Amino acid sequence: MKAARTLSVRARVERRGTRKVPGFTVAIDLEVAPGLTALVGPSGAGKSTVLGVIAGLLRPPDSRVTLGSEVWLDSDSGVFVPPERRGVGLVFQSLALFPHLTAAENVAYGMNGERATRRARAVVMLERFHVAHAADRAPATLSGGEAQRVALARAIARDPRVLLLDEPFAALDEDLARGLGDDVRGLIAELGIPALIVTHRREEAARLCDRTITMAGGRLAEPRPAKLVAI
Amino acid sequence: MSWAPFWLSLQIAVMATLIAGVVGVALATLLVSRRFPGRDLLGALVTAPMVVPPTVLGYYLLVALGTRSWIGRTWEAIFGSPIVFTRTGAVIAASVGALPLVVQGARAALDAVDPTLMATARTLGATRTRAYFTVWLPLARGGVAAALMLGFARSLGDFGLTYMVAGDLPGETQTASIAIYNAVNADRYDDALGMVLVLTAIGLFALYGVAKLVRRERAT
Repeated sequence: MKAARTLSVRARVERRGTRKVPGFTVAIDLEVAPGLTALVGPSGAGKSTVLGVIAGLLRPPDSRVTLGSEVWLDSDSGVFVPPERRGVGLVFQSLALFPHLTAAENVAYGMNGERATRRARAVVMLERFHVAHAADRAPATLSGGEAQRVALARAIARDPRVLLLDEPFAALDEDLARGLGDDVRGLIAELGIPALIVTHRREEAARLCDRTITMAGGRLAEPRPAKLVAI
Repeated sequence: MSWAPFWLSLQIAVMATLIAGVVGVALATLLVSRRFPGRDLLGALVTAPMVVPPTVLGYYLLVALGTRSWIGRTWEAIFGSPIVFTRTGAVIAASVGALPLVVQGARAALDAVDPTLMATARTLGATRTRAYFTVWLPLARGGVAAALMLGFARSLGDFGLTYMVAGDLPGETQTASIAIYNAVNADRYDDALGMVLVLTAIGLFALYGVAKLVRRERAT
């Protein structure tokens, strides 16, 4: 069992506005302990931006991201670990399944080794999420629930050290969301890693997660926004 | 009329499509993926051959690649023959003519791919290069193939630029378009008809293929 490590994020990101959405600043300072933490807030609160910073998809100035003693981003010293070396499992709200690959190929994408071995391991992962029957199907032919499970299997397949889920159940009906939510909860308990779930459903957050962090207008909406220790 | 100019055109067009394909897709990727000062200017420069007269473009190429330019002199010192008024010159002329079509098409195709797919590939351990070749480019392949087909058709039929840069040397730079021009000039319309029909068919087939490819990409 890997030693459980806390994810620490201090970031200040200027989001450029578009014609429809005005620009805003995301400024946060938070720690995510192993277990399931919900990041709740209205659209445009900056929740997805936080995930982008943790995954290494954004490289904001004046920021620092660490996992335990490992520094992923430190703008002061110029340290930046690229996304492919962070070991972060990320599931976008759109799921972002590769449309030109089958479900099994999607799951095997991040694996190393021989093609046949990778496929066998991918099928085992799909079995774990109860979608092995869809292994050879294209993402476009999967139902919403199946696609969701394939995306989760793909994110978990690389044995991530941090898991980030952006609105993972938004497109599912309540029963499906509840079933999958319970699966995810069990999985995170088993892996013992920090996991952050972005959601706008407060009741879902309360039911599934050990902790809830609320964001609004690019900031943490807690009484002590400068440093929120979520343990 | 001999078909030699047509086969020469075909060889030149294949080479030019390869060059314009590699350079064009690389430029399209740069223009889509990076924000840098002068990006719009680079985009305009790459597209310029579509709107600038072939004679003007030919003038620039002659100045840049001619025997008095350093590129021309260096080339001649290494390979023993000049660039201009040779088959190499004809290939470069056809590549320059095809480049804007390849860049425009590839740019639109690459731009249409959802960026979260690339981001996901990166979080799954792929370097930027691997994500590009395994996710981004394969998902844009229909549009890129369509762009290459247009580029091929354009370079196969190039006239003005090739005439300026490579001249009219039978067996060396006399392409199908130039041979047709010569035949018409000499009032030998019947001689030109065969090649006119073949070039027309290839152009139409390319456009038909492009429409098919684009429709298939939209459907996926």
